[in-house]
Amino acid sequence: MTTIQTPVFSSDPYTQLAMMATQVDEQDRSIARETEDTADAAADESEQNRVAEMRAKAQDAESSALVSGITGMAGGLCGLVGAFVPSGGEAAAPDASGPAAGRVAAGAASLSPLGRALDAGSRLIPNVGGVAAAVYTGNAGNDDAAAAQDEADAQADLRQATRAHDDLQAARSSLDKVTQFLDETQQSENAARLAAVSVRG
Amino acid sequence: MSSPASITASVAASTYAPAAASGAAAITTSSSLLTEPVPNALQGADPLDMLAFFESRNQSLGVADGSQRIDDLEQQRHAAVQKQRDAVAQEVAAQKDHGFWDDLGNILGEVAKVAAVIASVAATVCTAGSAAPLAIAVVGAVLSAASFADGEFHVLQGLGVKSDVAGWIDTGMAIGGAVATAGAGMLSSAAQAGASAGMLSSADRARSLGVLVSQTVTVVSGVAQIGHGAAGIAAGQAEARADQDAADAVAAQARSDQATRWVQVVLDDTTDTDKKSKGILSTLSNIDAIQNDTAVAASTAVRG
Repeated sequence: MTTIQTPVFSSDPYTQLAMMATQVDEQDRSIARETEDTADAAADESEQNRVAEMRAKAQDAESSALVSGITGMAGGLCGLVGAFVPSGGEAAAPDASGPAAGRVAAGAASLSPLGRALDAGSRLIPNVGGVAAAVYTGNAGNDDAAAAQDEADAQADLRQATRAHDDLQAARSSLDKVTQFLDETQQSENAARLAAVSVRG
Repeated sequence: MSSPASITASVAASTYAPAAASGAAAITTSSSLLTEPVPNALQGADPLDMLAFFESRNQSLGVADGSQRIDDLEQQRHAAVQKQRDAVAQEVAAQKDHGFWDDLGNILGEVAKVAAVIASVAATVCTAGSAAPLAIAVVGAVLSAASFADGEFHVLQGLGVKSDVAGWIDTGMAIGGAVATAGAGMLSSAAQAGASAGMLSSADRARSLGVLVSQTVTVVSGVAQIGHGAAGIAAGQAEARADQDAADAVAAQARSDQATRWVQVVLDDTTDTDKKSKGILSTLSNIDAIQNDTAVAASTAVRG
């Protein structure tokens, strides 16, 4: 950190004041530049985090769709296969009145164990998949919230960087004024000296 | 009194080198634009003129360097904007794909749900003649129908139930419907195990028709459910692509915004450096004028 040095090579109070003002402005400028750099880097990091969260959300959404879709397809397949599984009644009385009678006697409600399992699977698997997909959906929601938080952080960092930039410009302006003051002071002194010399001559 | 030139030189503009955390090209500057001093280079020359010469050269190099850096940053910014445009265009295309697959999936989902309800009702009709399986099957059909209806019309939410709770209730009703239907089948199977087969009555023919309808609708429901799942996967992948493209667009916009900020910073630095160089040159010019005035005054004094 820059410390303010006491000017030792001039006893002129205006010069000392100007030098101290210059050092303070220089210190302000250095701090403002450092703050601006830090805030800019923080904003950039927040934006990168935001992008990463958005990508994570996309992956979670895809995973959710995959789980939901695959289990849905599995359920549909179970139902499809189950429709062609012979009923339990047919096996019990195959020769009583033929296949048609057997199917009628058994009915759709008297499915074989495999048929019942497939029927139950066609209903249960998609629901279980829906529950599993909800986990990914929840994660996607969390990613979305985190991305929004990162965006807010980035905006806050950018505002800080803007303020630091304004401070930097203010310090520069102050330095310019000090320089201008010193220039005018020196010109006045020189003019006075020349005038004094001219009077003596 | 100290010279303003020394003061202004001590506060010469610093260089800007922002942290290159994003991987973008960092702005690098040399510590000084002045050429390395050559031994005895000032020998025989007026030091003030040499200072003015080097300061003038420093000023020109500073402006040229600043302009070059701004050009580079502008190119980076334009590239980022182009990437952003491409990403947004891809996002729009992915959203269209998502909309298509989502609509198709919704239609297939409706078909599957309606078919499942029809199949459940048809199965209920097939159990006629046995009281207990019939009652359980009716309960299953009612649960399935209620789950479907609430999933479509959100009756529970309209009654003040939270959406997630309503979702769990729908899921529970669907599972309950499946279990009840399966249980009715098991009971019916057990009840008919000992029944003897005879001539087909009108009731049996009705049951036969019910079985046929139930099987057909079950096939339709299964196919529609498979299509619904496939469309859901396609829709999810399209949504993921859209999200990835949105992320690309955000990243590109961040790079563009950062390049814009750097352009402003470099512009301010270059302007400040140029302004200070002009100040130094002005100071040197004033010193030269004072030297001349001093010489004139001294000459006048000597002549008397």
